[in-house]
Amino acid sequence: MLALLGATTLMLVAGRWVLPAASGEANLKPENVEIHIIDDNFFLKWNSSSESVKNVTFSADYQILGTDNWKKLSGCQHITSTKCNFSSVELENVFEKIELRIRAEEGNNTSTWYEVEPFVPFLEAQIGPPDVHLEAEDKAIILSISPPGTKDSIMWAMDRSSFRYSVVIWKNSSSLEERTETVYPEDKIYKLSPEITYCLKVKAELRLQSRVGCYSPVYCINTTERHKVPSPENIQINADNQIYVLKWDYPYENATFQAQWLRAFFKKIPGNHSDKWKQIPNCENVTSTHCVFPREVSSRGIYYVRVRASNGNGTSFWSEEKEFNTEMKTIIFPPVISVKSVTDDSLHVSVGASEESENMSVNQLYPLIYEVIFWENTSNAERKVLEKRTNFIFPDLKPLTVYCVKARALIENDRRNKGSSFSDTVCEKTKPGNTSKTWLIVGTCTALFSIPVVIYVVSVFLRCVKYVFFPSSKPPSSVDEYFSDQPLRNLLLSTSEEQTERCFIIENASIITEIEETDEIDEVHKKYSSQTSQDSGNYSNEDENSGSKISEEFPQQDSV
Amino acid sequence: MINKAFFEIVLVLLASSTVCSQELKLVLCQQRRVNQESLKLLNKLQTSSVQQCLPHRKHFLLPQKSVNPHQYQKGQVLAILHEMLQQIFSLFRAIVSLDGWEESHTEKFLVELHQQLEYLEALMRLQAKQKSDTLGSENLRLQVKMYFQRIHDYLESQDYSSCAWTIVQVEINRCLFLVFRLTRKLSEQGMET
Repeated sequence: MLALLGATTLMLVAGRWVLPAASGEANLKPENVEIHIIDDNFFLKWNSSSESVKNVTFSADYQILGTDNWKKLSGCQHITSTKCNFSSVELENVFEKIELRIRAEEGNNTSTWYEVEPFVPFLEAQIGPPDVHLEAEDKAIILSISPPGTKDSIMWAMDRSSFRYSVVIWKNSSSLEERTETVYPEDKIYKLSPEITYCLKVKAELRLQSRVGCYSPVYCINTTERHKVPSPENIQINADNQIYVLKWDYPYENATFQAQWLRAFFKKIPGNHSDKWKQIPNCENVTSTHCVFPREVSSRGIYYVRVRASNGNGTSFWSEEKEFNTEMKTIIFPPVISVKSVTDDSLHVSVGASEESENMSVNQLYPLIYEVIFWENTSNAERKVLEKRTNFIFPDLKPLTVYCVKARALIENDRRNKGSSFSDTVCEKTKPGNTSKTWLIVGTCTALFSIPVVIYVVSVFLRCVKYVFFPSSKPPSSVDEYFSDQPLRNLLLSTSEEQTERCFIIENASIITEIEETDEIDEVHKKYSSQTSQDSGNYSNEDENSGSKISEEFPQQDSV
Repeated sequence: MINKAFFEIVLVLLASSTVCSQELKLVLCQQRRVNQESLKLLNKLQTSSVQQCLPHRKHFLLPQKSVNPHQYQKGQVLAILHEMLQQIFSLFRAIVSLDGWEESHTEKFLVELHQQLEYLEALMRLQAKQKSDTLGSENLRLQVKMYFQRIHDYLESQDYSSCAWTIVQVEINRCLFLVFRLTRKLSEQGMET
């Protein structure tokens, strides 16, 4: 399909075109008018029966559809052969639909115009082969690819940084082991062997527009002999809370390392960006095979990272470049798992995104797979599975046994990336064997029986509570008779301060009565009576005593 | 047999649409960042220089109407968005090669733009599996390319003067508003389906 689209040859079947009968010439019947466009070059080809006729020439005009402003194509004026070509420079615009017409001319006589069906040059153009420049290392080839077309190409001017390149590479000695890679204009092909002749061809692609170019010629190059200082391998970047840890493998001793990074967007821009690589802070002259740098030193975005080693013999080539997205690293969160026992011999596991990752939601952009580790609680024998599904079942288990599960998320197509840390371990017991059903019935029956019992117990309890804390508001009638003045309604909850008695013992009452009039005695009497009336509400023993005191004193008064 | 296949297709469609809506949220988020950086760039321009450049204004005919999101399928809207951002990227990367560019700010803008392009491309690769609605996006891409060609031609005719750049930056900011609207529309559509 792509190949078909790529081979965009405009096949235009020409109608019959005739020289005016007045000219007296024979009919000129061009069979086909074909237009091929490769990059900026337009190739026009037609057949004509006029080849035998001398002095017949051809000319072509064009105009933007609907403008009625025909312009001569300078490359195709008064052509004696049956083909001509011109460059897109002659057109004002390759994105607009144009009309093209050709006619035959002989002296002052001209044929009528043959009009080609209107077309958009950009959509018909074939992407030409790119220019490739190669450089060899011991285990890699450095590619510098120039976009198709010339530097001031009009056709691809708007797409120069959209091109990606597909490279087919093979050992010259055996073309069987082909390898295809998609690369940027400035890129490297890794994992080659030293001192081998490799051959490759390159084509340009505008993938998202479904446009594929044609292959460049085959280029061959020898990789150099093995370098004295090998390059670091297996570059990895891990993110911890506030730091990034850059690690690499280097099995040789006494080496120092240097790491650099590049903003990934430079890769999309054609041209050499070797000066855009920057030193990673803290990763210069490192003697260990890792370095640590704080998160703040990198602003958001995608980077490429590379490392090289130096020792007494010199400096290695740069390692493979590792893509590193500051977002990605922070985004793969451990999944959340839940385990349910379904039957006696299987457990149902479901893996879900954690809340954090759902908020970030970048996880979803990259297809994830889950590495699930599964073991019997009492043994250490682990089973490891890679699962793409988020719901699955572990079958063939023992009944009534505790199994534990933990999982982590990995990016599917990037196994080199470390993925998330493991989720919390979840353990679950499988259900008992076949007896489970009986147990279920027994359980249900017990539950049903216990309901009335519970209701009864609760009601009794409620009655007790009511009896103790909320007794009926009316005291027994016998008590009521005694204390009709001020009945105490709540014996237990009464908080009123107990009223104390104030007692007066008047000893010299007789003297007073001697000096003063009997009226005074009456006053005293009144006092007493007022006191007694105050006291009348109290029913303590003291009251009784005071009452008796009063009754003792009255006889004194009486005696006077 | 047919029923089974049909059922599977429905399942796949359901699954893919839910996956997409997650990603669309992200794309919208990222677009917000892109627009923010663009505004920051714009704020760097001095008011005096903007005023001085007013006579150089030009109408670039932003294809606003022809890229009305209501009438297009998701794949087509994605194509428009991708083309616009790709073209803005190409336009600004030209500044990288020029002297005296506002390195840190333009770089930040390009970084966010690049990230958004990566997201969109990932989304489009997913979308490409449902090939049907990517058809017809060629013409939409053409419209966008023509618009940007007008901008390039203008810059060239003005010898890439600082005034011309100012005018173009303002225009790009306008264009990014349209991009944002489209992105939001897309994410809303994505949530519904």
